Amino acid sequence: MQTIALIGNPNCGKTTLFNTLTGTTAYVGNWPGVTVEKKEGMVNGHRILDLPGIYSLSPYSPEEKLSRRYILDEQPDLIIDVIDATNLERSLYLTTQLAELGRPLLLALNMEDLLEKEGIRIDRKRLSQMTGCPVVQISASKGTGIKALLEEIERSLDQKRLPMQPLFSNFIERYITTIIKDDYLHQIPKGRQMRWAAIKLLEADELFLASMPQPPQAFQTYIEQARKELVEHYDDDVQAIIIDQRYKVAERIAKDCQIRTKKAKQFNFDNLATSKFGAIPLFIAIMAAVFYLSIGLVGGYTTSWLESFFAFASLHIQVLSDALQVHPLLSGILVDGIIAGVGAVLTFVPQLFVLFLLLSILEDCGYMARIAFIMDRLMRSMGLSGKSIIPLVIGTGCSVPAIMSSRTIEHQKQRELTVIVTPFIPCGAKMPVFALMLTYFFPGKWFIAPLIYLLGILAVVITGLLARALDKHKETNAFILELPRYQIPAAKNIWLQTKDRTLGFIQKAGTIILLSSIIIYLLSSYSFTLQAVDAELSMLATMGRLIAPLFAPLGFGFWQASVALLTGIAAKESIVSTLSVTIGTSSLGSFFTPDTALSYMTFILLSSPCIAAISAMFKELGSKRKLLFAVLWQTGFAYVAALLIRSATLLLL
Amino acid sequence: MMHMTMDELTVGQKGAVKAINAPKQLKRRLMDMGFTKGVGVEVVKLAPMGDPMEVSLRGYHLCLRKAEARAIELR
Amino acid sequence: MYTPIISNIIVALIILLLIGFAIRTLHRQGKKENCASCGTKKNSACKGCKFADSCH
Repeated sequence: MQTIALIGNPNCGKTTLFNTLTGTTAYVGNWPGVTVEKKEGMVNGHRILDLPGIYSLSPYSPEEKLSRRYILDEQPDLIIDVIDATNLERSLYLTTQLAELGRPLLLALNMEDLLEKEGIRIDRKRLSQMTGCPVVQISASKGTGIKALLEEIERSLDQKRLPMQPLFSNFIERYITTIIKDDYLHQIPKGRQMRWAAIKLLEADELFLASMPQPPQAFQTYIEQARKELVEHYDDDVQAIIIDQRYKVAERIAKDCQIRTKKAKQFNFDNLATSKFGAIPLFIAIMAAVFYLSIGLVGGYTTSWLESFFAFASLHIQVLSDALQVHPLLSGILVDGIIAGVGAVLTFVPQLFVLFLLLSILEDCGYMARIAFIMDRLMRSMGLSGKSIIPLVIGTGCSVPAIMSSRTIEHQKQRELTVIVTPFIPCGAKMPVFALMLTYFFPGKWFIAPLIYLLGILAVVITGLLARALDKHKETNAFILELPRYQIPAAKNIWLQTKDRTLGFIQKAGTIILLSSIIIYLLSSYSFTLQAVDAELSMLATMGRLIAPLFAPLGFGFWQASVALLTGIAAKESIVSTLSVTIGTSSLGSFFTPDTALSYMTFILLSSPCIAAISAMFKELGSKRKLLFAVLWQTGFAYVAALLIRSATLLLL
Repeated sequence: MMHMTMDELTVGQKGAVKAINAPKQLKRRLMDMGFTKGVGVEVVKLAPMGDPMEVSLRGYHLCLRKAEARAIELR
Repeated sequence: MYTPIISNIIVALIILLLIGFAIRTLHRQGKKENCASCGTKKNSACKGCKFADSCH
């Protein structure tokens, strides 16, 4: 079975092509030792691998190293270089590097549907001539050219033609030729081409040098001399010289094969989305619309309906069970445990569905990159990166994918800070308890809901400013960002992702919430001597009273509140289900007051997230020490904030 | 001798890259993205707060911070 | 006459089924190193980055 490697720049549509070619055979795994996704699938009976999007094959980032090592060691039978046809020149830079690796190379010019719109014409034949590679024009998103691509894949796998080698200036080629002639190069590991190795020697490429034995003194001297002469001649370091040479090749080819005609300036959404005065208002408006549509509109309609439904169901099932003389233990578990607990959570499914849907559209249409662009300056003043805003936005749905998406931030400190503050943003799972408290204690005062988000944002800002003030180095990293094209996201992808996340939420309800509700019910209905008792005398109460006093200053020092918080570790939705089982949603007033309700909500909002998010944080932070710090910071901050909020509320009311 | 750097350009202004003065990693990244000697750049727009900037080069657009653009010397 | 016994058994079975299903799902999730937060499928958003083909 032959293997194909799919490679290309970020945003070239490689993933769409991969999905088109592999259909349902795609499988996501992990490359050993790195946190990079490994995507494999089958196409026409061949194994195909989607390598990470990279701009270059230099030996620095994990993605580049991985792709390079894969191609050299695993020796795929064919490399398909996916090129954004509207970005030919820059794309060819990578191509010049791929051509040196000694594997058959096929160029797939993607996004052909956009060529006409942007006034570009590419001479495929000429491009094929100049590179020695077959060239196929496709549009992965529209599905055109795929058949031709598949045919060309078969042909290339059959013929195994190697691409032409891009040639540098005569001055450099002289050195390359001399190096190749030396015996030393006969020792290169299997699969490496001599020319490629020679270039690596000139560049003093660390990865390559590490794979080779120490060169003999004379040869070593020659290379050092060559490097010195190159530096003198070009007035630049050798790596820069080679990069420059590659781009010259890319320029030459692009100039010969491409014709660009200037198109009239069309209206671009970016004229608004990144404009000086419109950008931020637009961003706020879009986020406000997302929340209004999901929680305000859909939530408003469906929540009360579903609550009545569950109340109705539980009442009737209780009556039925009593009539059938079902043992109170069993009916208790069913009605006061399962239905009460799970029902409390399920009432939120409709609004979370809409929230996930809107966030998914936002994620896939390309707008997120604009947000990063707009917010970068502001974020940096808080020790974060513009790219940090993306996890913060996704975090309104769920912290787990949000924390994962912080990987796009190159700067380690900024990335870690982002990971720590992301859980401050209220996630979908925390909404049930907020909604419960708000409708009970502050009916009609809808404006408090946005304040919760503001509080989360404030926590992010404060933490960021503090981190920045304490940071002695104040180094920043490169922000270099390519704004991807806007696209109407594929309906199928949106639907799958939304359905997936919503089902995930329901699944959590049917598993963690279900089990914890039953356990809580049992523990709160029986004493340690297994006698049926009032909640106050139950096992749960006794256990809860051990930690409850910690929260006395915050106003919720009763065991039901602490126990609920503890169950929140498994999943934040559990808090509302536990309260539902131990207190009952209609009796909140006997335990909480408006000020303690607010302090409780504040604590829940800011304290450390559920176990899933904690493990996501651990994966990103990498060390137990950093994780501990994160959890302590979040919980400590939450405690202080809750205290302040409570005091403020008492003063104001 | 006055060195003009890319961060000093305003919207619509053009220039040609003369040299990249940056620590090795940043230099390599900038060059990987196409900022090599002689290439023409043009500032397309600035973010609402003045930073980062969007520039066009080699037929495509790229965003980078002014701090990074300062490394790109123009003639 | 037997109604109470039957109804008790039915309710008990329902509860046990729900518990069993819950535990089985959690066990499977634990093995796959998955959690339901992002989604239930293999390909869910948890693994990897969504916004750039290249993560740091």
